[in-house]
Amino acid sequence: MALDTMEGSLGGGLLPIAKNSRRKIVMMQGEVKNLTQSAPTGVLVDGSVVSGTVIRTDGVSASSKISVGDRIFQSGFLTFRFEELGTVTAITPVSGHEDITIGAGFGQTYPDPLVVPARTPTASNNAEISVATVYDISPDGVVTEVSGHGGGLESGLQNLFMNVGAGRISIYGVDDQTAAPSGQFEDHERINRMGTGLSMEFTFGSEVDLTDSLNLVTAVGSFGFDMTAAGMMVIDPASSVATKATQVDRVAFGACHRVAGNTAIFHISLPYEQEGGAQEEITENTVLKFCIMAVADNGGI
Amino acid sequence: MAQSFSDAFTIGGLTGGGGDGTVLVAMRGRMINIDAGHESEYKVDGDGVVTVLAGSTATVDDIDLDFGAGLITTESIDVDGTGTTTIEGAGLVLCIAFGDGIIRAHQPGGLQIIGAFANVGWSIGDAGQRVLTHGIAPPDNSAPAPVGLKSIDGNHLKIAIGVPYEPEGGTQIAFNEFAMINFDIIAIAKRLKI
Repeated sequence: MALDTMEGSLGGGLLPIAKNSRRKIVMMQGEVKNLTQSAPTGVLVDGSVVSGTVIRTDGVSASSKISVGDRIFQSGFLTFRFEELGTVTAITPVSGHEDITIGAGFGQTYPDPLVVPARTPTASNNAEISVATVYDISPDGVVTEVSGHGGGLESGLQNLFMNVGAGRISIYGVDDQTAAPSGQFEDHERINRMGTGLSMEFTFGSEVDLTDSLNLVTAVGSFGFDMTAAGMMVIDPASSVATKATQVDRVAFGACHRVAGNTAIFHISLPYEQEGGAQEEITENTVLKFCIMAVADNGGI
Repeated sequence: MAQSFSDAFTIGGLTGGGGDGTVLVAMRGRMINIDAGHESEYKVDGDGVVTVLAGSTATVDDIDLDFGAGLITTESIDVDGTGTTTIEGAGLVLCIAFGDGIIRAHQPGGLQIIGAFANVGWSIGDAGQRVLTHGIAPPDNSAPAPVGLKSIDGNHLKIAIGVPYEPEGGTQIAFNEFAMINFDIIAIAKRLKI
């Protein structure tokens, strides 16, 4: 069930002095790298679709960057904002293009209960498609990368290390192109999240569940970047991977964007610069250290 | 009555957190004398008595806690955050040990921090005169500070505190020894079995 990993995230119990007597603290703390897996892929939407289940792509071959089961997002100067399109259920070659099917649909015909109608996404011509990287963490700390591996990048074990917590972590909307724009479709036009560097979704359970018996009340987080990891971090002492203790060398700060059901979403800043400094970019070697805590109503468990 | 809404904002009380239980620990206070070359170390005991452990310019009047006790150390001070020390964008690294010493190993009876959260703001100007009166600088002399988590290790944590926040297009203010930081830190810790 959705909550079967919760014991691995418990930060402590709370005495029943409040109206709801089943509240608990849950938390996750760890480090993650290869964030650019969730940056724009280079796959472009070919033709706007106001509402439907199929998006045609051009540019880079979609099947080399996107897999069935991936959550996909669009961004770019034509969309003006970063938004989720849905979960891929099929990728089909069609005469020089590829069609991405989103079985649950997108747009106003297929409303998302968590998105106000005015913000319902419309697939925009030439929008950049990016993919969420999703990790599952068992109560024993075993990490599995369940999607977002379309580029054949490193395994989950090398990307995510958990000190505390279990459940699911999803990363998306990584803005790795903060350089000044030089023209249409150039740097900073493919994705522009203002000061946000990425979004991170923490799910206390094996999947997002808005109706199960654990509901988060509130969540806070603290973050930091290691910009000089050079692809090495303490991950798996038993493996042959070179290791290096993560040394946070840039300030990062995050805002809790939403808590719903068993999931909290944070928007995390780009590496902080003093005023007048030059903004640094998130690269594939950037490590994010994260620590989030939430209070959960644990009804009936 | 005044507490009519308390059910709506009360989270709950914490369990005692006996052996292998978890506890919330916190520290709240303010600090001055943070300037280039002024890296210092202080100990604040359970009665709030301050002792200077290191730092040629440090005095016992540099720090005042409303809540909490332990070791407080300033590292990597960079008055304009340009990266002349360790962390670009950060004015200093504040190190907190909940205890009278740093315990990194899993020592029976000790604390192992598993999560930490902090808020920090700067008071610029004449704040240096106010640290012991629980005062803060006037609103137009204060600035929020972005805070990043640097490390968690045993009973010890480090946070990187950004230089006073400026809007885009502003001019970065460099702080000096008279600037004050106001900090709140909450951590969750495992209490290890004796």
